[in-house]
Amino acid sequence: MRKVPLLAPALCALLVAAPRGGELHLCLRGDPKSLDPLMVTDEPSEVIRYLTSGVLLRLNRRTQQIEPELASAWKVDDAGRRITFRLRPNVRFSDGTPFDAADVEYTLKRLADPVLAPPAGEVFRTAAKIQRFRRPNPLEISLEFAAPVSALELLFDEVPLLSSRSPVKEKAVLGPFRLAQYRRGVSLRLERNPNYWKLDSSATRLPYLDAIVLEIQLNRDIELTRFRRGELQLISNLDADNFDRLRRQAPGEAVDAGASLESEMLWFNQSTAAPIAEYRKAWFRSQAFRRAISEAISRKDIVRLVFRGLAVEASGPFSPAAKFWYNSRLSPPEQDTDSARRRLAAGGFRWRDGYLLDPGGRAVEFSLITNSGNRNRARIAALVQEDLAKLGVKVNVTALDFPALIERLNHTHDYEACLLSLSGIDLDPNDQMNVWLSSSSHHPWNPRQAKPATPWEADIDRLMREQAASYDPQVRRGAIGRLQEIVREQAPVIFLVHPHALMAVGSAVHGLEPSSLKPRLLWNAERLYLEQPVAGKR
Amino acid sequence: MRLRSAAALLLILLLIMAVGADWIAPHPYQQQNRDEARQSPGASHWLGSDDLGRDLWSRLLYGTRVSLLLAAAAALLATLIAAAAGVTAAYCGGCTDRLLMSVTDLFLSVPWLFLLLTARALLPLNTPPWESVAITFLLLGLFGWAGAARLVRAAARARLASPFALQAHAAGVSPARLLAFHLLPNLAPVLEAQFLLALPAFLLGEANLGMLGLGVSEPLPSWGNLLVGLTTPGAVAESPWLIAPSVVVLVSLLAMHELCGRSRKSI
Amino acid sequence: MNFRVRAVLAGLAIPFVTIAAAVLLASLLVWLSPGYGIDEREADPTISDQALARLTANRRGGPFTVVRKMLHGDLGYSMALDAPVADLIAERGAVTLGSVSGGLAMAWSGAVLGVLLVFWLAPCARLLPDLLAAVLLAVPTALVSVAAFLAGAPVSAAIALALFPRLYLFARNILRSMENQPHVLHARAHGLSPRRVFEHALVRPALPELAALAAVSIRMALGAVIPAEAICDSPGLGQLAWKATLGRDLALLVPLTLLMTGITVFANTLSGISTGGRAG
Repeated sequence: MRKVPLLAPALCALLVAAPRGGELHLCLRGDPKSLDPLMVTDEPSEVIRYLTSGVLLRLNRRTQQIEPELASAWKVDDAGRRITFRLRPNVRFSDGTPFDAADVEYTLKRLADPVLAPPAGEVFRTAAKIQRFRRPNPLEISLEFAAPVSALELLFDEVPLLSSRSPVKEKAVLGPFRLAQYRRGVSLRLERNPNYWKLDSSATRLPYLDAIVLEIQLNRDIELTRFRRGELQLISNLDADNFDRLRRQAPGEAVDAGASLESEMLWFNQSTAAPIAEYRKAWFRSQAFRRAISEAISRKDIVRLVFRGLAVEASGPFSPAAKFWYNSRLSPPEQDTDSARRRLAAGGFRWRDGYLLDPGGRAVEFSLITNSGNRNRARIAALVQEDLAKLGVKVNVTALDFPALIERLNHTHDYEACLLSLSGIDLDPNDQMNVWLSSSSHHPWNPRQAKPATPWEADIDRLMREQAASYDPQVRRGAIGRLQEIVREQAPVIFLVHPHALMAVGSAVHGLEPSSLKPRLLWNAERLYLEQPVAGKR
Repeated sequence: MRLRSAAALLLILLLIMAVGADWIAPHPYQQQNRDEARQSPGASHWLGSDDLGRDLWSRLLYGTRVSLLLAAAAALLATLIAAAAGVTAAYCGGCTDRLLMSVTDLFLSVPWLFLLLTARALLPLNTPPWESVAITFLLLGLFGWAGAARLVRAAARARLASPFALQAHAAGVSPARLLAFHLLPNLAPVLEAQFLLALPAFLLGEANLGMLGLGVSEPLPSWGNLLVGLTTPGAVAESPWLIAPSVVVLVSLLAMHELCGRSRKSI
Repeated sequence: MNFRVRAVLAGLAIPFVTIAAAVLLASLLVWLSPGYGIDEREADPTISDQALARLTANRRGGPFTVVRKMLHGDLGYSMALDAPVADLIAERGAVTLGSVSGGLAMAWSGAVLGVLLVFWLAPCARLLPDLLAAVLLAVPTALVSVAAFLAGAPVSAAIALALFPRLYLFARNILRSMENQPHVLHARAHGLSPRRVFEHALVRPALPELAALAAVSIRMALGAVIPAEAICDSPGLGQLAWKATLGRDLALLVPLTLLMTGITVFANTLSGISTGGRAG
């Protein structure tokens, strides 16, 4: 098995001129919903935006540090209220149109446009409203915000720069690749942007690859089979079963980048609008009950049996992958059925004939919903079911297809407990704002609260707002650390495990720096090269 | 004849396994022996164990109960509906015939999967797995009769035109008597064949639903969710014993087809 | 009105009413199913409430809107795939046409070969196609599709493997029912060669039934194409139907149901005509 860091190939790339040319083949999980970089809302579109768009600053997915991209330098002033960018000279869009500060202003104004309301610009219409643009010269631009903006630099990692003058509009790109062909349901072909600005150490214009072909493939098992046949060179997301199989068959091609940002989690429905009996809501609102359930579940067994050791036990919403934010003082709860029993007894619960009864004498039984078609989640549900049976709690597992599940979670609130993953989030805690704010629709256990139902939820709201209003990383870290402690104490969401970021890399691909952060294998796509480039489809 | 006897014997054996699973199974189907996960066949687990350490032999026995008994009930229901629709269409002819055959076309065309999704979602979430899977099979039976109805109608028309039916009609036999005592006994081989064709179709239907995540829920086993593991490329090559449930499924279905084939020949 | 004209009109009206009823029923089922109007992106925790509202704003139209648009020649827009329905069907129709026609050709070739083997070339080897058909009938289509894909075969092969046993068994039984007919026994008694008996005494009288089977096989192939394309990730109408089902995409499901019902009714009508009303 290949373990990250994969620095040797990267180092070779610096010392020896990498061969140019060739096509890289990999898969997307579905068709992109939009090819307009400002309208991106789904993962396939995000991958295409990442590969084709230029940005001012880039988050290095390995070091988790911000690096200059189209801005050669930048400066933050006024405690995060102002940022000034110095732009690179002689940069051109893929169609030859020159790039300057006017394009940056044009892009940001479009993002902030309340009528167009592009999803990518949500933050510029809310927390980071730009009050004033200053362009002292074509290669410098200064932005002034109404209030300090937390993680200010990180915002620009996701701002795809558009040309204000190009006749082809958003088709003119600054990224290493440009879209050459799209066959819906089949593939997208991204070819080298001839005007890409970046050069390697030997002054060769990047990217090395002629093209990246993204094939639409939903079936993960088939994707692995095609990889083994050499039809694909990369898989950026493997499940533990397939990874385990691959590492036994071809250890050099299996790449484990360690814990991902994702979490498998379980929560109880505490919504006042939920059409479930009040006595059941009383269980779910009991801290003793939630903590006991959390302690009764063996996270170790989930890691070992479901993820084949390719996951880490979770202590909270931040995984060790989020190096700066992870609260390492909190250890994951150990399975302790006796402690769980003590908590339940203290909360007024008792047992008769091995079954748990609530203070009103009713047997404790609840349903657990999850999405159908996910092997791992079905196994986790079965493990939870058996662990809780030891406490005398009966769990009925129901797998629903995704739209039916979302309808229950977001609209009817007709469920008791849910097992799902917290995924699609990035490194910064602001990405979890909707999860933790009690007023949000995505607040899992009790969404859309007019005011926080409990003092600890009010604390969570305050901490999230506090960190979002500060530019100071240490202040933010303190708030997020405390939030993790509250979540651990109250267990409104029971975090189970953080699965590893597992990938497959063909032996012919070099220059990779795999990361657990998206887009995992492609974040430095301009520096990837093939050992023996072959033109055309393999 | 010997083959038919062997097939019948095999099915009887399967039925005994299904009904007597509580006594035959060495472990409860849901019992997780977590330190014995993914074991190859041995003394403690005759067919090995699954990812959570559950005994595959026990799960196969209980899976047989779920799939075989419920699929048989669903096949019986579908055959009865097909018989009613087919015989009515053939006997009445004219507008009734056209109407019933249009309804048949309708049933063959509408995406009933949505009804299945709706029914599953409308069930209370605390519905025990046994009840929800029974309802799934009930729906399969209620909506799986259309193809068979066309064949029953064709056979019924042929028999109604045959000399014995014309003679009975000429002798003034009432329609009810004609249907009950003359037509239906003569349709018995057709209906038997349809039942035996529907049975494997529903078994595989449940298996397909299981693969699409709509089948039997944890921890209840069924032939459908036991077959899921086979769709992962390489799984069988690594753990050949995983194929055991599918061999049982295959052999039992071959037995049903043998019986079915013989029934058809006897028509 | 002339009786014959009335019969023709009734003959035309019934399929039309059947198709209309199927479309309406399918629309209602989709509309009433749980999760209708839900966008999967609603599960994305990074999407704000405003963005959510925008995402779902256009998804809750009822079935009558879709049908009304269709009657005006507008097939509508697929929200699940973010593309015009007409474009999606046009793009994918060719793929499915290729898979279905290839699958039908292969399945019929296999069935014809099996029948030739049983009734003419080597009657003693009849166990071979019988066993193959039984094994294939006993394996779920999903498994057949995966196996075909792993063997590097096209989707049409998966469809053929699903169709072959049914076609073979039906064709075999049709010809077997002819075997004991007086004209066949007479031909054999006259010492006609096995080839002439097969061609003239068995196949020729069974042609209407075989033609009906050919018509019905189109419907069978359409049934098999959905799991085969969905599992093999082939960008055809079958995969489209599966995605539309998962995404509760009414705009896409209504024309697809129309297409399916149209073909079913057409195939069954053809089957009825070819057997002079004796079958189908």
